[in-house]
Amino acid sequence: MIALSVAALLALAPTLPDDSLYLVEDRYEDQTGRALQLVSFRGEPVLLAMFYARCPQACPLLISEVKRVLAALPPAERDIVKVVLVTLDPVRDTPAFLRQTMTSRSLAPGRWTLLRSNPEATRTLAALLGVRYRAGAGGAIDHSSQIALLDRVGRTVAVRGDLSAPLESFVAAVVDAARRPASPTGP
Amino acid sequence: MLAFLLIIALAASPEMVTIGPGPAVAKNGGPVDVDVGRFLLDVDLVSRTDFAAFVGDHPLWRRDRARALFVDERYLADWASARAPGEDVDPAAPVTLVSWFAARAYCSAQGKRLPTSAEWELAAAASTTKKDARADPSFVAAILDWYGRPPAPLRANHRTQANLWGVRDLHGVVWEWVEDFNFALVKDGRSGDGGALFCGAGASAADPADYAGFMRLAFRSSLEARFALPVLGFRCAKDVLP
Repeated sequence: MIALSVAALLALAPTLPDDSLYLVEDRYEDQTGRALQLVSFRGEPVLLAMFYARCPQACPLLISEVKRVLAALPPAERDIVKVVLVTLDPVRDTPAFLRQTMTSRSLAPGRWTLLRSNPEATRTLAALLGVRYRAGAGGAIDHSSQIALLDRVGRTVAVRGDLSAPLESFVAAVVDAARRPASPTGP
Repeated sequence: MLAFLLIIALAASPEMVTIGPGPAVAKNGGPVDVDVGRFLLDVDLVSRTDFAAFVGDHPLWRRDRARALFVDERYLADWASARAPGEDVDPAAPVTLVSWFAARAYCSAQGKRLPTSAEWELAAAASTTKKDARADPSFVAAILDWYGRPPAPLRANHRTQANLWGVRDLHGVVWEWVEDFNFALVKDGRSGDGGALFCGAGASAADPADYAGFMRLAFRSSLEARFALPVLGFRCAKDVLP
């Protein structure tokens, strides 16, 4: 039931830093239905955000914002960075619907991954990222929008919380994360 | 193995009582009051002794081993050692300085979970004589009086009489973690969130007449899951089996 299995934490203990998001071992599935854990993204810098596929306004803006960050990166760094969007609506955002969203929003499968988990794990991730959300009227989900930059071992090294702020410093952080060599304790 | 775990769980498990059905309460500070239904809730707050037993069984939740991802540096900082609260504090007093993750892990280890904010509010709406005392001036005044007082040293539970449901210390001792604390959205809430986009309406619509409830909503909305605060404890809940 709880997200953190003692055995898994022990197994990961020697290699992941204490504040790595990859210590969370909840199960997720991607838009193809493949089962995975957040640690599956270890090794590359990741832009991580929470959204939901039926969101009419803020989530399309969030996706556009991620695209803006990617477009601002030099090609070499852009090729490395992965984008992971986790749904806040795990019941309705089935893999099939997430796959449809990938197509309708032109999200390249090599770079973008859309994930869902169970409600409890969703709350865990939202708590870890500081995303606040609540079911609103008519199936809408009120939520705060932010983009977290994870380094190669899953530490949050930058957060873009104010989407109206200048892009430069966040882009610089992404470039830095992409250029930094993999941690000596990494894979 | 399972039987053994069950015995441990029962031994460590404080008494629970059934709550509900009761008055509709604001869900996550949302605009619509909801009926919560029935659930089980711990009579008492989780004590330092209870939590020391948990930490003994789950050493990864000791303060010297807990992950920085899940607890801030204040986690169990008032304990004499990583294993025990020590002599200087009342071991029967509610445990505080625990993060949401730690509270959740504790409840999970007992086969329980944290209550939702709506469940907690339903239980906490009751006085000793009424299921819904939120409009009872003396009940409300006592709660607000406690909110206005500086924190006192924590001593054993049971300082307040059980309410109509049989639950003690929902008011007047510590604030409590709920599962959906981060559902609370207060407009222009956390500092630094000024430009955050909200998908949907965003603003909260807690009933202004329920000022104590609004205070709790505001408090929850100021929390982060890693926070360990001296005035913040918890109790566990459980589904009623169908």
